Amino acid sequence: MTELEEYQQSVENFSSSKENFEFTNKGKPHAAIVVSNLIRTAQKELLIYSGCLHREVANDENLVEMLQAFLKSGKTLKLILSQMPAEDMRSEALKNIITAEKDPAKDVHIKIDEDGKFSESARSIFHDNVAHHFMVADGAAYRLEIDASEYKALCNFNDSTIAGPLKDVFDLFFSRD
Amino acid sequence: MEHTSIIGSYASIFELSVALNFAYAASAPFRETMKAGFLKSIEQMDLWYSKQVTKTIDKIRLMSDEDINSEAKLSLKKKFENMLVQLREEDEQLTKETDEAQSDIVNQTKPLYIYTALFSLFILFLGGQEVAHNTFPIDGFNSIIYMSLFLIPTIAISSMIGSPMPVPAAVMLLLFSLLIGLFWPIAYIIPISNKHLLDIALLFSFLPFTLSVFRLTWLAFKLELKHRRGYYKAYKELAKAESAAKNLRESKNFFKQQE
Repeated sequence: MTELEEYQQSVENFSSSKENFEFTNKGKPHAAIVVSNLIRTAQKELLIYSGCLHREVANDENLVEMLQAFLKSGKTLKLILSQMPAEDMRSEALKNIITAEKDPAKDVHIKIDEDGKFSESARSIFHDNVAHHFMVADGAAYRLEIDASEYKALCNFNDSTIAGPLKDVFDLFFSRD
Repeated sequence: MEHTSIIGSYASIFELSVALNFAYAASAPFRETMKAGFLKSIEQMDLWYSKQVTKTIDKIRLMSDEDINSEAKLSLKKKFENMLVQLREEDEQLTKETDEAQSDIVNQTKPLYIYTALFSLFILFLGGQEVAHNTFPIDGFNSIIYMSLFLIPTIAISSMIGSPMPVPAAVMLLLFSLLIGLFWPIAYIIPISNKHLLDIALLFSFLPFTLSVFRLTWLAFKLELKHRRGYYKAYKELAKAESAAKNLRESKNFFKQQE
């Protein structure tokens, strides 16, 4: 087994068993593995706050496959983007989410943070006053990006003490309107 | 006077004995089902070790993906690596001892199970004779009980001293004692009632199961005594390491509102 395959196996084990263990995650392939498993093991909802769901990670084949299965299942997906990329720049994952949003039978919602209101409230919960991108599944599993340039993030498949505040700020933004 | 069939009344129990004894000797899944209840706590301990080995390997792999820039985290990773060695050793030792002991019990008691299965079959044959001749077959019964009083301890002791009697030898001995019972029955009558003779036969029929119960209980007790301390030590050390990992979480330092 290669190092990446071993990493994938360990992430799969932890995501399936909902292990409460924080680990850092660096690099595009490692990021794609964690995101795929967050999607795969989400039981009810997925919350994503991202810049533009960059193609570098969000074009990953396995990730897109997991996302398609998630979207078919009828579970909830809420996405907040800092900006909507041009059509030719959109990742496969984003294209799938946009298509699903158009289907009234699916519980998929997208919001664009044009006026920066969400990033302002996200910033307010962090010590460093930076609006870190994140992903939360079922209010317990998360991937919190701490260095976007290196795709470095803090991850845990079962810690609601961290996932909870992320979910709260997300839900608050979505409940406005 | 019409003789009341005694053996016939217990025929179903001897039939069960034939089936169970042959099943135990011949079927590994049946033996596993029998053992499962007695060795449950050992199997759970073994399962815990296996699970923790996998989890610790996963933790070490995931910790390797990060920039470990603190002594505390490096020390934690080292602790998990040491724990992995300890857990693997304990797991391997426990599995090896359990498998060896179980294999010994099976190999040593197989001849006894075959013997008692055939013994029960012969009792059923005597039951047929009882009905056919309208009398309790006292000679055949005496003979088989006398022979078994000698043969069963011989088979049992030979397995306990590490030289278990081969199954064909046990079968030959039984066939020999059956021949004695049929053609040259022992004339000296055991001075107890027919019903109590039957009770002795019943005891013999289920003796291997009784012995297995004692041996498995003793095995579980011995293994628990030997491994439970190591298990609790590993459990506590893992809990400490996991608590340290929880305290070293970087995420809590990111949030303004701490737990």
